[in-house]
Amino acid sequence: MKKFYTIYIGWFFIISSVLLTYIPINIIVSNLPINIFIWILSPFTLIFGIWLSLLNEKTK
Amino acid sequence: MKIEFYTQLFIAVYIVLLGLMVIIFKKKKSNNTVFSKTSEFYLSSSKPLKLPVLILTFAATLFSAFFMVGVPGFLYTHGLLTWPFAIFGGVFGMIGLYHVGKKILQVRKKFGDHISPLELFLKTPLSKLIFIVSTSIFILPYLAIQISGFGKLVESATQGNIPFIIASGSGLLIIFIYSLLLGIKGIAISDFFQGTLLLISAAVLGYFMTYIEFNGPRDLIDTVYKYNPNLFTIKGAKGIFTLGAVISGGLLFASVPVTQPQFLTRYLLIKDEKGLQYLKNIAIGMGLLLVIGTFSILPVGLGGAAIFPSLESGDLLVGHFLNESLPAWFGGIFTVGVLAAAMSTADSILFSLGQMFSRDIYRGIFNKKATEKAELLAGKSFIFLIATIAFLFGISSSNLIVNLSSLSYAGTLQLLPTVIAGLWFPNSWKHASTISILSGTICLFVFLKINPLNSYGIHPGISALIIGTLAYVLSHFIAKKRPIK
Repeated sequence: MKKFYTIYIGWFFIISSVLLTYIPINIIVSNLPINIFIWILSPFTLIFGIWLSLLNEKTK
Repeated sequence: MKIEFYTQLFIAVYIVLLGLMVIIFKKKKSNNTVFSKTSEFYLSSSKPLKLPVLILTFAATLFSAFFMVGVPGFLYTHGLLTWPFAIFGGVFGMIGLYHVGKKILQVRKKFGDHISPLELFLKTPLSKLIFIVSTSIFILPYLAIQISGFGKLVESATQGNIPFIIASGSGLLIIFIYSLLLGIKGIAISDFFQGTLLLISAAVLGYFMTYIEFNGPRDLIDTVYKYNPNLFTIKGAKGIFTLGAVISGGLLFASVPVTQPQFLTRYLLIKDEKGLQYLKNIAIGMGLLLVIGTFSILPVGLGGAAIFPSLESGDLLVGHFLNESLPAWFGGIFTVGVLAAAMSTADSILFSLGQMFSRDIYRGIFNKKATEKAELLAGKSFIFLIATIAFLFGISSSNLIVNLSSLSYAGTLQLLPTVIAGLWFPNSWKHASTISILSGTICLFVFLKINPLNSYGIHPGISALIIGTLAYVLSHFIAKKRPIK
């Protein structure tokens, strides 16, 4: 049960990091397009997703 | 004091430290660390390496001069999107690393430690020969940029006072001697220190750009955005980030830990009982270091676009920055960091090629009764040959570092069907790998001239990979239908 959740939450993070990079969002946050912040952050959420997806991987 | 003084001083200190390491290492474990001794070759009798050393040796092998000089140059030319795209490719490579590594460890457990990495997925002497020839040819540009990347940096940082040819020649000499003196385990342990050094020097460079040249990250982004908003567009400042190009680039980069020789031999370092657990941590740890390392060098490329807007090539950026904006002593340290980055990649490549050649080609095909001494000599001669060709290639080629890297990645990508099918489908036809590598490689050369998927922005390497994969599958099924007597 636990394994199921971490894998799927992990892959949710992975896919959304990649997708969000491609979706243009026309919102300006403190004089900059919000996409810039997303682009800076998406690699971090991606690696977090990969960590989650491998968390309960069988290693024995 | 000038930067060339500090460069020479710190490189001298670095060489002395490396020398000390060789002496200590040889004294301590004199029986099983010499290049190509059977025990060292398969590491069967040596003690397993600790997890932090394993993570750093994998990471340092991936971080090359390309990372220190090429990535800031690419950011400078094409903008912010370089960062997520490079990470996507790299981090997906870590997933590949985990799954291929897991399979290699499992297959190896089944067959025992005496098996060489190539024997895990190749069945005929011809396929081994073709695999090694193809790897050697395509790894050459990558090896060459380690040498030329270091040379270019020293030349531009010292404004030509240390010429390119002297810098790259001496860099290569250090790498060559070092890879002959130490075995794979010694290289792995020195990678630990080199990896730490290169990550720290990249972070300090990023800090200088963010906090000395600008007033923090926000000021940097605001200034660069005002100066050139094109650097913050989804297609990149020069429009190269099309969907096809991004997928191709990601695949090329992601295939590195699965197809390049320095990684294929590195899996054998994981000897601990908790091998799979270690492998998982290596994949995640390496991905994390990739993210942190690239993030710390990100401000250099972006900030450089506003400070030095009219450079001839992005590859010159780091050298200019060191020379014009930073204290000379730091220039010297950073140069050693780039040498460490180049070295940790190049010595592993040279060593693994020497290993594969001496074991699988020399002893496996040409001289089956070869003594250990003869095998050792064959491996060393091959390393010398490859290093010399790489040097000549490096000094004669003026291509941008990134272009040479992608050519190399595209070439070794053609080995992917062989590695994957050989590991997961051991009963596939024994000549399918030969046919696949040959057709993929030939198609790559053809597609570099006329690429059928060019209009979609797909890299010729990916088009050739499709052909290579089809060739593997088709030849397997045809051969299974009509068994050859």
